[in-house]
Amino acid sequence: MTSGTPTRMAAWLESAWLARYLDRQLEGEELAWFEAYLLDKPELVETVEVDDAMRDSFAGEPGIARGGHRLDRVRRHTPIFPRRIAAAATVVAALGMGWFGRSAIGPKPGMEAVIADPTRIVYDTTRGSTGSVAQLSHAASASPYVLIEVAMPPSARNVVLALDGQPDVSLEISPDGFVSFLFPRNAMDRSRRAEISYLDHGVTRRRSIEIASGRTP
Amino acid sequence: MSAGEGTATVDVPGATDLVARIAAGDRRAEHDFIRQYERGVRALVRRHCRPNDPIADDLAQDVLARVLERLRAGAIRDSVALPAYVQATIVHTTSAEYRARRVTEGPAVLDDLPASDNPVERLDSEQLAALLRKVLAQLPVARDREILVRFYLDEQDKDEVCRSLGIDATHFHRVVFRARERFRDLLHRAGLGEP
Repeated sequence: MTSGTPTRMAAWLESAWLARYLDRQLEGEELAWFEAYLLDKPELVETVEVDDAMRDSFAGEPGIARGGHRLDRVRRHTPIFPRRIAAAATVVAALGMGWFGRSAIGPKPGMEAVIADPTRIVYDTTRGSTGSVAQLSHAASASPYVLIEVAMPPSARNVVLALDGQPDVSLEISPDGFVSFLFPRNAMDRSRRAEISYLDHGVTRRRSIEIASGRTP
Repeated sequence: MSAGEGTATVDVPGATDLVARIAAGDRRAEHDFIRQYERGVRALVRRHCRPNDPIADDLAQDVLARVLERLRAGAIRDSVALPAYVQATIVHTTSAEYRARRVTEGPAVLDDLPASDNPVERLDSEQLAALLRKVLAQLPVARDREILVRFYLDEQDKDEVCRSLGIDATHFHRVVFRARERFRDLLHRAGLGEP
């Protein structure tokens, strides 16, 4: 992929590449290819500009002298991922009873109970901006499920997930402010839209997510 | 379309014939090229430079000038390869700068270009610092601030940050992504660019 970039990647794939780029996880040919790809795409360039500005701001801000925020003690790592997987499992059970059919849900006989590194999509925009693209990781996973996480405002309560043809499902907000659910991979190629509603200071608010494209319209 | 066909009247701004049009002497095509690539070139040059290095603007001009010279000379024939050529020129130009700290001047064609419309570049360092302080103030957990400091100031890579602080990649992504989005939001609220 070191030649030109005549076509546009799918939004979710582009988002995944951008995330890796901003995390400085691209090297060599991959780095060169993606930089060439983004050069004439203003929305990607804008994100790079913001990231550049963040870096420059840190470097130029005397109030953030190195070590000023260094922790004397770092708490031991408490994995968030397994906790969220457990919560999501309760949701996938509910999903499996209707829309996708029971056979599509849960480990098949003889299958390992553990689903390692499922594809994960994180919708992490909580300010209601339009067209936000999700973060995607483990895109190449062979897992039959995709873990979807959606950031919620701190004041959100009574979160409910609605999917086409499915009974509404209550979602519990994790301590770090996310709701999550598992989605069958074999349904990803359909244009599925989920709606998450919640109470915010007594007002019911709704967020739609287009699962197939990885966008919040 | 070949370089010698005289394409000055062709009004197709796409990249497909941009190379041929510039090689044929089409000045409008040169401006199309600049419009299409200038912002990206500036962002990437800045990224390849050290933080706050004022040479970045000059280098971006230099990159555009060099590519334009090659296009005029017909040295780039495959329009599909143009982005890769621009990117390689960015890398070579910034690398050469840091090897020699040598400043070059662009050709006259760049003199009449419109000023950069990069909203970030319209902010001075004090404004950026103020925005950064707002972002940090919204991170009540010291460890989350430390993640940003290590990643952006110390330029540690993600794995190193996660290992040092005993966090997983999930948390790292969440903190960095939210901080970046908040920073973007503040830039927009400051009237710079569309939200």
